Amino acid sequence: MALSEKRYAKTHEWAAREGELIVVGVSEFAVEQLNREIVFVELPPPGKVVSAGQSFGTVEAVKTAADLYAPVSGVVEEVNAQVLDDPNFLAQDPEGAGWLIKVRPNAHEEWNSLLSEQDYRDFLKQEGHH
Amino acid sequence: MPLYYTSIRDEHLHTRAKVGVFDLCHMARFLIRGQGFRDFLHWLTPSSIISVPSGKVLYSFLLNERGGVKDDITIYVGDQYALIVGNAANREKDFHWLVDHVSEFPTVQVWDVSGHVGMLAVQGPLSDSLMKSALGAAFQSCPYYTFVPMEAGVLPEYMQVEVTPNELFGNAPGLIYSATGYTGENGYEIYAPNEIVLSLWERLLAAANELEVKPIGLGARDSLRLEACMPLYGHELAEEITPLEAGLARFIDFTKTTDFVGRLELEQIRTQGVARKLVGLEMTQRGPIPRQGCCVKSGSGEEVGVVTSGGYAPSLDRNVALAYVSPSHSHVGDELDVVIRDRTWPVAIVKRPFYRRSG
Repeated sequence: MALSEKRYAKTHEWAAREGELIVVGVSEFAVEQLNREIVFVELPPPGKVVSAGQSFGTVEAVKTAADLYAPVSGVVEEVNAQVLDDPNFLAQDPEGAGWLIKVRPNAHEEWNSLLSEQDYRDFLKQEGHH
Repeated sequence: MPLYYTSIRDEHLHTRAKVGVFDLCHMARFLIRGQGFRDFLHWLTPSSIISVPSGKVLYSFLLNERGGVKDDITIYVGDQYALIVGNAANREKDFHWLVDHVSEFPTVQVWDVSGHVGMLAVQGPLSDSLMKSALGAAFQSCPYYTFVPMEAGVLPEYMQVEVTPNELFGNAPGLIYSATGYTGENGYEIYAPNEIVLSLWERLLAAANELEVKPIGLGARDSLRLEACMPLYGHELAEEITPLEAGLARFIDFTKTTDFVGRLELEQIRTQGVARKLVGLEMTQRGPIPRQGCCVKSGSGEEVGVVTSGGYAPSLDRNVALAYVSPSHSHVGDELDVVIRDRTWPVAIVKRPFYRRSG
């Protein structure tokens, strides 16, 4: 998958451009926080509208369930069926094979308000995670 | 005790396949001694304490006057003393309950020894080998739910350390092990004075090479007990829940000829029948985890119960839950729905326990 630079939300989702679509996933950091023990992933079906900052699904780990927040608004074009079928794809490679959904964005300016990779790293440091 | 050392799933499966060691020093431990200590516990708990032979361990309860569970406990019955082990979160509550009720037994003393005696567990199919390796001649395997005081003369050298003389104990040994546990596997729980417990923990883990022993955290302790359908206080048991609803009537000795705290209420409930029953639910498809508080509904959408514990069961690779449901919807094979984050998921009532060790 040829992806553009990644952008991040403070809620630990990432976004990357792929043609006209935006690929969305969760960060290595977030998956590490769940000790990579993910047992279930709940994602919206294609056609569903997601809104930036709003919950669009859930990642369920052994001990807790974490909401997923859409980094951009738009319509879900594709869902990673592999992850739904085997959450280990998310646990082992969250920023690659474990991507979650592809969204056709309807508000292009939202991309610009996301954090660059460096800003996200700085944000994690500020939060005292590293 | 951490949530996990490496991963909940790995630690869980390791305990089922090999052997794991648990640091249980957080548990509550009380020593009951003095003339009449058995009469005291015979009245305070629903177990027969007077007639039980020394060396037995009993699963029992501290009940309130309504027959609800103040705590679920194990009682180690000796000649001169009883050791009561309760839940960490109930330590203060239990101690006050014991002290408040002992006043009618002036020769009986209650001591909170949680801070003086450590507690470890060895669980899994290789438990006997590990116990032998760490305790040497001080260990002989013993029948399920019995305990053995370790004699000073046969202790391995590393355990022969000066223990601060502790008048609490007198002739009650601070060093015992029992064939008990909270995992559904064979195993032991060991009690040792603080001066010894750390070197014992290290010695048990040092057998890593020959026996592949691993330390096991709280997360796997919970998933292991859930698969074995052992109740957890604050989930399946509480002040408002009686052992009868929890399916634990076999631990109430109604043949006792004397009164015990909570007896009257329990007798009434036994006659009338319980208003809810604990059942095991298995999710019939991949889905989210039904957790404590999730609503259970009948096929027609009627609310019939609530989940008390739920989780991913690593040995079965599926999600399971324990729930209280109305008796009319409590039969094995009944199909119900559980509501998780506003969506309903099909579940079936299955036989408990979810997991039973072979052999």
